[in-house]
Amino acid sequence: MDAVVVTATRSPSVLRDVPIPTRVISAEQIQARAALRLSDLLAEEPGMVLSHFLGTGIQLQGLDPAYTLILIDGEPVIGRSGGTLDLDRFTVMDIASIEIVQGPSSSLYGSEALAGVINIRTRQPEEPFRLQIGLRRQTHNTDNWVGSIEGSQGRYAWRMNADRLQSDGYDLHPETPGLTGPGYATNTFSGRFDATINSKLSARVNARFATEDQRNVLGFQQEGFVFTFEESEQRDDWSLSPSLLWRVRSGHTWTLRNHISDYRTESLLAGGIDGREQELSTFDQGIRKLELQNDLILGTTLLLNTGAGIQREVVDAGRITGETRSNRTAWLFSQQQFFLTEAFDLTTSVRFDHHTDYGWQVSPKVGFMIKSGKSVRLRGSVGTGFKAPTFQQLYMDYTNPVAGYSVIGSADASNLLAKLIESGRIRTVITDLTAFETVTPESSVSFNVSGDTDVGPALHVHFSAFRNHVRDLVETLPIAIKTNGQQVFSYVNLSRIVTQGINAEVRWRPIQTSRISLGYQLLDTRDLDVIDGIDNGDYFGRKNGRDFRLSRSDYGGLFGRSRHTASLQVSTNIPGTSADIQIRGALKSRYGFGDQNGNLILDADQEYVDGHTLWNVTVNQPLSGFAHMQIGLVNALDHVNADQIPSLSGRQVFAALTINTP
Amino acid sequence: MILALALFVSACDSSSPNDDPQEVVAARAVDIPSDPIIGLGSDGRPVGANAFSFFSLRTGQIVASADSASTGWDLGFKGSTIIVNGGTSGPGNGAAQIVEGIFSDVMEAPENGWVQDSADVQAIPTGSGNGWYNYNFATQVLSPIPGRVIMVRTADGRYAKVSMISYYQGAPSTPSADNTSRFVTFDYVFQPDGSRNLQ
Repeated sequence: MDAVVVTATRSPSVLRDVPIPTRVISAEQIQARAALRLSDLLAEEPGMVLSHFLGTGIQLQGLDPAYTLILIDGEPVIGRSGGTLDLDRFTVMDIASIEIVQGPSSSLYGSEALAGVINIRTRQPEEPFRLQIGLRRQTHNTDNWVGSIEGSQGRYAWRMNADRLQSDGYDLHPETPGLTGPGYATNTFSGRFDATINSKLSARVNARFATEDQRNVLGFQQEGFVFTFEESEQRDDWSLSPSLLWRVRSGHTWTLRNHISDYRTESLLAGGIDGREQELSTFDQGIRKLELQNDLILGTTLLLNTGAGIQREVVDAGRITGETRSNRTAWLFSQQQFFLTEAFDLTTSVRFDHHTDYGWQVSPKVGFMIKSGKSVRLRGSVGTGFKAPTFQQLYMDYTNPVAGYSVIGSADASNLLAKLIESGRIRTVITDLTAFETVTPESSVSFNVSGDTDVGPALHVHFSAFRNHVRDLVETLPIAIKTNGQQVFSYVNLSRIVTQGINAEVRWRPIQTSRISLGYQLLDTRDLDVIDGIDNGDYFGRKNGRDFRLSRSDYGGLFGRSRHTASLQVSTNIPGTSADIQIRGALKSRYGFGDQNGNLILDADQEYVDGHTLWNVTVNQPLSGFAHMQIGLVNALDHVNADQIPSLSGRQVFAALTINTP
Repeated sequence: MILALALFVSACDSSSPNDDPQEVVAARAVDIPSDPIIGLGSDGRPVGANAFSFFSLRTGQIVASADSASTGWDLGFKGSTIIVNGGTSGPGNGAAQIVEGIFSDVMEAPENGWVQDSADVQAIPTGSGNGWYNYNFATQVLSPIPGRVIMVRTADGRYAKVSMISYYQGAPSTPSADNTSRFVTFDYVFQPDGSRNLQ
């Protein structure tokens, strides 16, 4: 049970004694639940809520998916769309464990690690030789083929994985053209190679390649006329991460890591009412990263982790100024883990990032842990997080061909607007451009506390509380009106939000073959400028045709946040058999969908999506030493809300068979 | 002051108009066509006739477009654009301004701050968030902003206040993109005696 985690401190630590609380989903759990994609797994965890905007993302501590850093074996994953890194991109078949660290970790990881870090650790080769293949069939003609092969020989070990997932998609609105959930085919190949060069030196190479094809017919009605477009999207991403580990002596190591990654999409929209319209858009993002880390134990009370790195990022897209833009980040971080007494640990860390566009960013964090006995742990931390502006926010240069509005990045806003004025396309300038500044990183100050204790040998209790103050959130604002009446938008650092909440979790093992865990989160979110506006009497609502001034109690906070979420996971042996059954439920209370009454904030009942609970069931049946069968239900109670939750298809049934060499 | 309320269920309904009210009119104008979609343009997209509906606050009636060059109308509607009969939009003395507040609490038209339509500025600004509506790109729904009252000076210099209710036919309480747009419904109070009193 003493799992070793690496994400919270960028160094190995026993889970029970890691100074920053870490949640682990193990390979056994992943296997038993029979999840297909990373998103399916995370959706069942307490305090983690999926959100669907340009992909499936995860909401941590009430913050949007853009604020959670996703790593694979410690290296960042790229390819965000509108801030969301689509978690449906990742198969779970090659995952050994997932580590989730909530709260800011920018003091170690830099940008994006504001709400938390999710690190996917891939499977290590363990056997001299092992081959595994599997097939799963599921509703909507969904097929998943998986295969892996691993081996080790003396100083070398290797593993390769292949995964293909394809689906016909589903349709919740048969009366309109196209599918609600489009069909797709995605292939993932990954592998790693480990070499022990000598007793002090070892090397590793991780590689991954994934490709996805998606096609759909988009149809929408406008004023009684139906438009149809054929949409096709191709997504490719690959990464290569060689690394070298030098153990100078026990308690002193150097790690050199290189990471090269590229993410590319090409989407084509063709059709329209006369079939003549065509729009091709491409996006290509690449990073190259080099990092050196030193881990040093000094005496018995201090562990030092020091690192420095550089990263170059290039984006090539039709919608940005100059089509190709690049920037560089260089950083230095330092962490001190003080084991002060038997009962008290202190961890301090700070990271300095220098970025070619926005200059210096300093991210400190301090955390403590009080220990009593083997199981009582009280942890607390204060830290800062930040998120760098995206390429779109800095360099976007896009005019919607249909509606005619324009969006321009803040770094080039003055130049681009001057050009528009010169060419006579601007009627009025709204913003004072002399005061207009390039957007800077969004940043946060966060407080986290948590407690853990074993109540007897079979019961574990966990609680935590958090509060995040995030400022300088980047928003789009109109800066000018064009002669065609449409607006020109750009990006500014504008709003301030607060998210705070309480989590509680109980894990119980009533008998050896049964496990029950129950989690709950109470979440409160708010936009501080809206609160000020309400206090000033600037916000109005409308009920039964009459306007009224809103009070604080009318305000429902940020859109897309459930005040109450809960999760239940039950796993038990089916008596008299060798099979086990897993039942998982995830509850969400109502959450804001979108403004309906023109004041742009969440205040009226019709602006909410009804609360609901989703249930998944899996039955595992080992057939012999080398085969394993699974059957199950996804969304077992068939909850559907076609208008407000199009990402949710109805109930799905699956059966899977896995065969491996003994 | 005791006021007679002439409450019209529909301004399009010609059965009960009062062509020359002497006292304050408080009424709702229902489903005034605001250049509704009539077909497809050369680019295959829906278009209207590109024509304003002209509305008289005095009579509560739509004025024939043949009379658009007269002072017989006060507000013109085309899509989400509203014009006043003044400045570059008409021969009258019309002007407007938007104030924040609750419709029924606005007792008096302001003395100053009146804006006429011109080449540079609309008396009732267009664009999401600028004037009387917000447009939600995600739901493609245009919603009137609660708490915004359009103060109107009519073509003949009388005063009125207007509260926009809906942009969709039948004024559904939670409109969607499937509703037929470009039919405006609004409440208004018109003071015929020339004073700024809108009680």
